[in-house]
Amino acid sequence: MLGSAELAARLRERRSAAYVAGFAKLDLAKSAGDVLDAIRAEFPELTPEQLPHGIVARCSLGHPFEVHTLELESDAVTHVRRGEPLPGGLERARALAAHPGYLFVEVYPDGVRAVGVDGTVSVAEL
Amino acid sequence: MGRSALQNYRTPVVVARGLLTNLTSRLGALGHEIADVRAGVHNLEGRVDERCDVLQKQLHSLTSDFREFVAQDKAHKDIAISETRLVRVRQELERNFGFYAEIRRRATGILQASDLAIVREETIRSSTEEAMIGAPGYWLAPALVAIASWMADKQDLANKALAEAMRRDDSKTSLLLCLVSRRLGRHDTARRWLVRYLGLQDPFALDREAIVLVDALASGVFGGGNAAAGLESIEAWTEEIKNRVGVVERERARWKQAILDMSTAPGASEYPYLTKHSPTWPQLASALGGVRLNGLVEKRVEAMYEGELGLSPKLANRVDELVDDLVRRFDDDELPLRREERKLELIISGSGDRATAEAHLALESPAFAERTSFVTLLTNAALGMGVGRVSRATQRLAFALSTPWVIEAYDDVVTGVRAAQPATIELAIDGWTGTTADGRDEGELVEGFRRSLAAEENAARAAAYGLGFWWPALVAVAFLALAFFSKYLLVGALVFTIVQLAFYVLSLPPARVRKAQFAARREVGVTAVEACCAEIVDLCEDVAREDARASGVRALLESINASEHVGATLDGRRKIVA
Repeated sequence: MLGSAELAARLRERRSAAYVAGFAKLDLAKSAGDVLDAIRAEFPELTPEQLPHGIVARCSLGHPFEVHTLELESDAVTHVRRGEPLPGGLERARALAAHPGYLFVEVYPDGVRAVGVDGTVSVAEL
Repeated sequence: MGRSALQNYRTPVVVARGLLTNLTSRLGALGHEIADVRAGVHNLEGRVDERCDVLQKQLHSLTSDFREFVAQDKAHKDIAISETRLVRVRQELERNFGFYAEIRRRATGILQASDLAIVREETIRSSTEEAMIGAPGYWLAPALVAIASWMADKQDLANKALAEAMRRDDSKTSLLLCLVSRRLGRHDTARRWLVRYLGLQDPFALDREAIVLVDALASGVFGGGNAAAGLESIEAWTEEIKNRVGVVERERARWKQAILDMSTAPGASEYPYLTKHSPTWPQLASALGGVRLNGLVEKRVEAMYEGELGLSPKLANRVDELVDDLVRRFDDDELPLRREERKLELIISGSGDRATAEAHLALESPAFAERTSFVTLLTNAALGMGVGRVSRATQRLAFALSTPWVIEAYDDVVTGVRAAQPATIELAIDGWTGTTADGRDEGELVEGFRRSLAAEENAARAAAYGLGFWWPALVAVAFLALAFFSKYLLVGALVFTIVQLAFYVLSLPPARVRKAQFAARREVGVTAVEACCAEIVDLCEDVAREDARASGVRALLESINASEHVGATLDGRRKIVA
């Protein structure tokens, strides 16, 4: 199990192209299973509690939907309308998920990690 | 008896009617007088309120003036104390290390004297030997003896002195000999010393003088092969450090702090209505200051890479500068006093602001550590921290070598700023509160404000004309009804009614005044809502425009390539040919 410094360094590493591509299809996914498999494949060395507990991304379904969320614990994908609260404590990732500079946002207990189209990761401690 | 009783009864009624007429006219007159008194009281109230406002403002101004005076007085005292201490610290440096300064001056003096060949070898040698006796334990003294003996071709003495210098400080001696060899055009010897110096280094715990090596690479002191070897080594150090968790993370945090420290709060005059009427203003100000960092970082980086380097065209002069730096800046014994000196300088330059000076010193403190990692050394040089000057060429190369974690720090700052943007903006105007996302729903907000004020006005009117207002009249009617049975009750009813009416007329503002007050509040409030909406639209555009610069700044940072800043050019185009 990675220590906190090692974990922080690991989670800052650039995400793989396959992992990033998986999230582009989240809107079309019938179930969250594929995405969950992609997350586990991306971080094989992490324990379940070290994985993100949710993912938030911009929703491509269009108005009135703003973002969609994936909660790892419940495997649930939720499309959220503008003005509606995000489930599972994922609200803090909303502004970043809606920003065109990021493809999706991973939510961790200590903060969020915003992932760009090229897989680069930036961290906001919240 | 019945008739007489009726007459007796009618007589008081006639009297009462007369009285009533009289009282009615008096009541009318009294009403006018009460209205006059009320107007006078209202006027007086207005003047008293106005006076209170003026007094309150004066008191507030006086309090803030007093606080400012106390702060300024403290700052002046801090400056005066710091200046006195600075003199003392510098005297102590002179007293404790003054003789070192004498020897240090001889280092470049010997090199320049040998160029000109106007000083006898014997004089040079005796001068260095004298320094050796005067500074026991100091590495430079035997190093100078070695150089002087080497120049005089006294091999044995040179070797003995060299061994002693290396025993005292192998690292600095190797670097000094490398530079001196380079100055004398002995490339192979310089290379051997360079390899030796590099081999002695632990990239996780370098002596501070390693920055001289970076400076030498940046200013083109080393020829092709040696420059390549030097760059290869420092790139290897960087890779080695990157693979150990924790070191680069510390530098990233320092860069993040350095970027955040560049932030300035927007002025109160930029968005005056939001400053006054939005409880969200502190977050908005912070968000605006945050996105403006993009432009500030861009300007800072462009300024670093623009313009001439200011290097001497003569190689010997550039080496002399490096030798001078090497012998002057990096003696650990002096560090505590140098640290204190820097702190006092920061307090003085910061106009006595001790807290800011200490925060700045905390950021600079790694630059005053005896040993640091190579990446810390680069951060210190790129941010211009530490003892003495950092050349422009060194700063450029150090920044270029630091860009991987500078970019990460910058990305984190940008992401943090974006995450902290408030999703909605709250407005609070004259008892009304409303929220907006972008200020484009001005109509709805104005309508909301009007509704809120109308509700307040209705409530005020209801309070003024409610049961509480009419009950004395009801009591008076009851008295009048009872007056058929007793004239005393009639008089009592009239007196009671007059007293109550007088009380209400005095205590409640007339309807027209109240209406005028609400109309004025409506006008002021609607103007404030509209102005706030206009400012929010401007603010959102301002934030979007500044935020959009982030990708350009990132591209600028990514375009900086370390290898382009090794062997710097004098005018930004031409490489130095050694």
